[in-house]
Amino acid sequence: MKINGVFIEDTFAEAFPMKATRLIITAHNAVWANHAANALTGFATSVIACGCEAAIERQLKRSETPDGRPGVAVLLFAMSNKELTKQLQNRVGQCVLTSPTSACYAGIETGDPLPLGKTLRYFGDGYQISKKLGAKRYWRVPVMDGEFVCEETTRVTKAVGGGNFLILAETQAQALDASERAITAMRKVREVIMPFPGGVVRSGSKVGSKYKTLPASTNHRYCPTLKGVVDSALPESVGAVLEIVIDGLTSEAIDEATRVGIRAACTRGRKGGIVAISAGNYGGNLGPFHFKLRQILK
Amino acid sequence: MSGLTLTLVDAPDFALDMSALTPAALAGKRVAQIRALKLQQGRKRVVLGDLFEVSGEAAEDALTIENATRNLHRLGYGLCGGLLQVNGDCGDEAGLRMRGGVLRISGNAGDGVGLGMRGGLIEISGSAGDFAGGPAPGDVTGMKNGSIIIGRHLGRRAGERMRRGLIVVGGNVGEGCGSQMVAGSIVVLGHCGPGLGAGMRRGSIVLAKAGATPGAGFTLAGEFELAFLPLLINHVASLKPGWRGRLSAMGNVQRWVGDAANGGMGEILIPA
Repeated sequence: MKINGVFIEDTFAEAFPMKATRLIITAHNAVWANHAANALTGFATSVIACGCEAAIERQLKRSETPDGRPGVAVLLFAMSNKELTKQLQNRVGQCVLTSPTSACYAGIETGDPLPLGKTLRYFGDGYQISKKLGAKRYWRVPVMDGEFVCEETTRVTKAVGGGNFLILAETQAQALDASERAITAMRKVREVIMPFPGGVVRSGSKVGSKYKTLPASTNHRYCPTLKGVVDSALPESVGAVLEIVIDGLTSEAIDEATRVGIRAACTRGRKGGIVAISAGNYGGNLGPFHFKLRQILK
Repeated sequence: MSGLTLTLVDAPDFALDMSALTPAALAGKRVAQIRALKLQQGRKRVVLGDLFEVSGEAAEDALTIENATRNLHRLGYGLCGGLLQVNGDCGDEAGLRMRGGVLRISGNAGDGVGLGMRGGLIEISGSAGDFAGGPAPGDVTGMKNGSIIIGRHLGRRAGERMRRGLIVVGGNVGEGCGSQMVAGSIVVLGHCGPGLGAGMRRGSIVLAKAGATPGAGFTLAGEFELAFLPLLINHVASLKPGWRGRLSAMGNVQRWVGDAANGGMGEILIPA
């Protein structure tokens, strides 16, 4: 299979079950909503060492937010409810509560509740105010610029983490250009995030290492500088590989993001230096979700 | 709307206790059984069929009372679910100890609407008397959950000692609104009488009209843009869509805190 002359390998991405939630962060204007969201999702590229994977899902219009202010939807993924709860407390407490004019609401209506304002309210030192409107409870915590409004709980849902595809290009610049095109297209898909910097990761890993303490190490078969040294998986013409990792609330959303991402990455085609599209997996033994590239692109 | 309809054909000139009539209490009963039910009238009991014409089929989710008058008291007592539609006026203590469902009254109501309420929605198109949302007889605190929507005016001491929940008034409220309030929210679109929030511990009284000056127990904290207000306005508008326009004009508000005589943690919000 080829798209614009770019070879699509007959392989699949292997993904894992995760727990996820969506938060809606609002502020006086979109700039400050993004400041809070960017801080919240900082250092959240991989559960390997960050505790969670998080990123901005999309910008929200005033009409889409609970308080009618500009907002941002953020998705957070973790391996367990316990870890997600911990990450929510730390990140919302340190990054959203602290951000001027911000407010924080649940962005998912179904699923088990996870504490949000329920624990953060104690920052109010007894001056916090509870407001129950219909079935929802909000906390108004007094802060120096007025009040921090936070919904009492958010909801957790089953999700999928680790969807991915690899862009194999002749040069680093060409791989980066294709990645940027892919990310631009994929950010229009709802219910997914690409948690790495700019949505792109250059350090794809394999399980294990020659060093016993490391759980993961560089995927040497995809490192172009090691061609001739190791059993390389790369064709002769490939000089750079970049990976796009996708976390989604549903496998269908990851399917869609993969489809639009690969098509966008192949825009410049083989003549533009894009050699092939591949995907990372562990032989199908570790994750129950398999995203077969050729099936998705049919 | 399907369900049972009770049409008052012989309006009583005495107070009639309607607390036995809720959708759940009548569900599954045949028309003949319902006609034979007895209602309390003081120390006497009267047969329902002598006063009401019964039509339709009893269902858990709907009951309509037509031609209601001020002598029908305790409508919707302990209502747990479904819709009790009352067309006409009603007497005192409508929605007493109500726990869920919807009590909708198309006319005016007497005193004590939603006393000791624990949940559900009471919507009155006209005006209501005193003590709405206050404590039920024998209770220390007032309503603990649910919403009361009053289309026009409300009498004295609305929301007295209320512990949680929401009261929204489309018109004016009498003296002592929110007095000794413990928590919850009262929204008034019209004017307020004297003694607003007197002795309140916590809770919020939100006024949609500028110009009110709270009593001596309140201190002006300043003027603020509160992110909480749009949430409250959206919630009220979800219950009463026609009032969104009257509320959405609220921008920055004056926040008065008090009553200092009782802890001072309550607030009165007035458009700046």
